[in-house]
Parts: sequence; C-alpha cells; structure tokens
Amino acid sequence: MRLPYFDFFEPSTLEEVFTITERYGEQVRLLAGGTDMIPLIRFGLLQPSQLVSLKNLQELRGIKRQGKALHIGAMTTLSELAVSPTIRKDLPALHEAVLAVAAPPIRNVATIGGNVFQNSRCLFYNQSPAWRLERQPCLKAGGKVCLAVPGSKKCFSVYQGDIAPALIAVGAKVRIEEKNGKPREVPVEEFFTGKGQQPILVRPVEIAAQFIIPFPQNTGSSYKKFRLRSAVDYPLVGAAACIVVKKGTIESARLVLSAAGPAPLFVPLDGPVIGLKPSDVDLDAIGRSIPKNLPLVDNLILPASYRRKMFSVFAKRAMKSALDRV
Amino acid sequence: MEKKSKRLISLTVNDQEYEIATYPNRTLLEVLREDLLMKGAREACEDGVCGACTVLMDGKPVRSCLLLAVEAQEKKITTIEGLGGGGKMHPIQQAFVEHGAVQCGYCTPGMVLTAKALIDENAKPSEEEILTAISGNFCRCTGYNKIVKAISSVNAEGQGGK
Repeated sequence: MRLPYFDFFEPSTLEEVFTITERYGEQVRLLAGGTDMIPLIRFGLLQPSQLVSLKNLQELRGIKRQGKALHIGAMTTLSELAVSPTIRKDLPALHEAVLAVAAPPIRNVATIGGNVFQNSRCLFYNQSPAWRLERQPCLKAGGKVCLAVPGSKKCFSVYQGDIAPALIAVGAKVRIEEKNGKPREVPVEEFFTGKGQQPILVRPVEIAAQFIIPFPQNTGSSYKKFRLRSAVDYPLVGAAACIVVKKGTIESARLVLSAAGPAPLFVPLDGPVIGLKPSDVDLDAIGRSIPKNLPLVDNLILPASYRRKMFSVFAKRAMKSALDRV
Repeated sequence: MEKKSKRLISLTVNDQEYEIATYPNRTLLEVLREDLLMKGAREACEDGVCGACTVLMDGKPVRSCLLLAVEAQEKKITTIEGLGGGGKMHPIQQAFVEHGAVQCGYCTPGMVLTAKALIDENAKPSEEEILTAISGNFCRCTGYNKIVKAISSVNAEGQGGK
C-alpha cells in the first residue's frame, strides 16, 4: 500500500523547524525514526500534508553526562541506548525497556523521542483502510462512538510505550524547545492527557529536544514486559519500578505501568514500602496495590480480564528485581 | 494540497551510486524494487512486523518498508543482490543451502542479511545471540532450527561473513 503524498523538509537547525511548523500549523508532522509513524500514515490514521525530518539536527542526538544528570537527545536511536555502558550500569530499568522494544532492526532506526511520544493503540483503530471501511469510524478516528465498547463516548485506546514508564519511574524530564522561548524542563508524565483520543500534548510550535535523567545514587530499577511473542510486540503489560535507599531503608519507591490505560500509570505505594529495609518488602502487597478499576477493555490481542491479573504479576517481578539491585 | 514535486535523490546501493527522481512519499523498498529492479527485498506485512523487507544500512539491518527513500541518502545500503558475486554464493548463502534453511524462501533474503550483520560484528555468535539477532525476522514456515544451524555453521567453518 502506497503512502499518500506529502511535502518533505530536511531542516538542520531548530530555527528552520520552527519556521516550517509555524507556516503549516496542524498539518505538519515531525518525523523521527518513522518506525511507528510510517505505518500510521500508510493506514491513513495520520494524514500529514508536510513531514519534517529531524535526522539532520545533530543537537538532538547523543548521550551525555552533564553534572548530576544524563542528557539523552530525543533523536538518539534505541540501538545507541542499548549499547550505552552508563545506561546499562546505572539505569537498568531504561536499559531493559529499550531492549524490550520491537526487535533489533527496528531499534536501529527508532528513536527514544519517537517511542515516548507514540500514539495510543487499539485493535479497532490500528487497522487498514479496508478493514475500517466496513465499519463506522471509531472515536479516535474522528467518529461518534467507540467500537471496542459499543455505545461508549469514551476512547479506550491504550498507551503501549515501553520507555516512558521507565523514564517516569526514574524521574526523567523532557527539555522542550520553542521558538523565541526559553527552553523548559517538564516531567515526562505531564505530557500525557489521560484521554485516548489525544493521549499526548505537544504543541506544534514545540519540540521535545532532550530527556534529562537525574543520575541515580543508591537506586535499584527494573522494567518487566508481558507480550505474546518475545520480539516485535507492543507490551500488553509493562511495569517499571525504581527504589531509592537511604541509610539502609527505602526512601522512595515508584511503580509505573504501561498498557494500563491511555497514559503511563503511576501507582502509589507509600504504605507497604517506605521506611522498610529492601529485604522486608512484602511483594504480595505490591501486587495488591494495583488499582482494581484499570480502564481495560477487550481491545488488545488478549482479553482485559487476563491482562488485569498480569499487572500484579509483572509489578511484583519489576519490584523484586529493583529491590535486588539496590 | 500544493503541486506534487519530485526530487532528485542519490542512493548508494551495493557500492554503486544511483540518482533517482522520485516523490518523497516513496519508501526505500519501493525504490529498490520498482526503480532499481532489485527484487530481493520482499514486500510482505508493510507494517514493520515481519522483516521480509530487511536491507542493511551502514551494515545494520533495517526495515526498508518503514524507511523513506529520501531518508536513506548518504548511507551505504546493502541488499541481497550485493552478496556473493562472480557466480559464487556468499558463505552465509552457501550455509543456508547446505543446511536446507530455505523453505518457501520469502524470509530468506532478510534472514541472510540479518545474519551477515550479526557475523560482521560478532564472528562467533552464541545460539542465544543468533536468536536475538533474528528475532525481528519471521519465518512463517517455522524453519528456525535450520536457519540457526546454518548461521552457527558459518562461524564453525571459520568462513566469517566478509
């Protein structure tokens, strides 16, 4: 199936990017690695009039340690992240999340920015035009009703990124650049709206340039993923855990889930964990802290009832592995 | 929509340079198959799942169906047509033949190229490393055992991947 026509731009500075986005407004899409966006364009789910390739923007590439933080350019490929010794050693949750994405040939092109800012997914949305022609358009595709829950006025599409939960668990921020504005740093979780139709909020005049991760000390972290095939598949359950220990007891514990709704989900844990020695944590209590009312419906390859059970299993596994690494 | 315009792009495929006038919305796979008539890279799922369209870009396997041709400029592209030559098969191709690692053949060019990238980087891959490397290449005849044996034999026979 052919891609529809679009104009194509290859700017080499942020200023040029902003000139183009300002001129064309909502019709423009920024192209990172393209491994997620090209299929969406091919299926007619995105219809950009202009595509702006970010490949020539050297300032969006690379992994650097600056002071007490690690700076990762949004256009850094997942394969580059996978071989970073710093990430492997100090940010194991991010390392595991990167290796959990798709398969090596896709990671050779796919970028961290593209992965974090990917759209939410649904079996009734991510389909070919021929499939969708037989039905009315769903809410996310601009229609009036949800097809996964017939009659619903709410979109149940699922955010299935692997990397965002790991970044949120370790407290990462995004450095946003905008035209004539001062760059600002925003926590990764603040980009998610919680709405399936429009899960991510980045204004067209902005660009996510860098991910800034506080350099961890006395920290253990982990990411665990559940999917049908051991490669290629998006997560049906993703769980990222990060534990910080001070003077032998747990000072903070963060558990963030993927595929639990339209945004990565931060699960409050304070009760059963804070102040304990890592070896004293009751993992079953971690499993019980998963909310019972996750907005899951039968719109991914496995039913909601089964995925619901797997969240506590994978949350426990991620937490156990994070505790073992402190 | 404004007027559609072609652009002149320059691709280096199997060490040869090609200048092609094309629209920006064409994938590398389309340009390879339709403009350069290299039919080794296969069109199958078109969704980035299967790996039948694999080519090497700067020595690393990528999905040519997910890559715009304009984005592949200034890179070294290797397709299955670029392996072997002078009437001789590349050692990896030879190994696939000897181990019967080809059934319907649809995944084979992608498998061979992925194996070449692996062996170029790691002359003695373990079985686990082979399985990870080919995890993005689907063989729907499920002939994985013979494929893995073929790839490990290239190492065992010390032929390297060059």
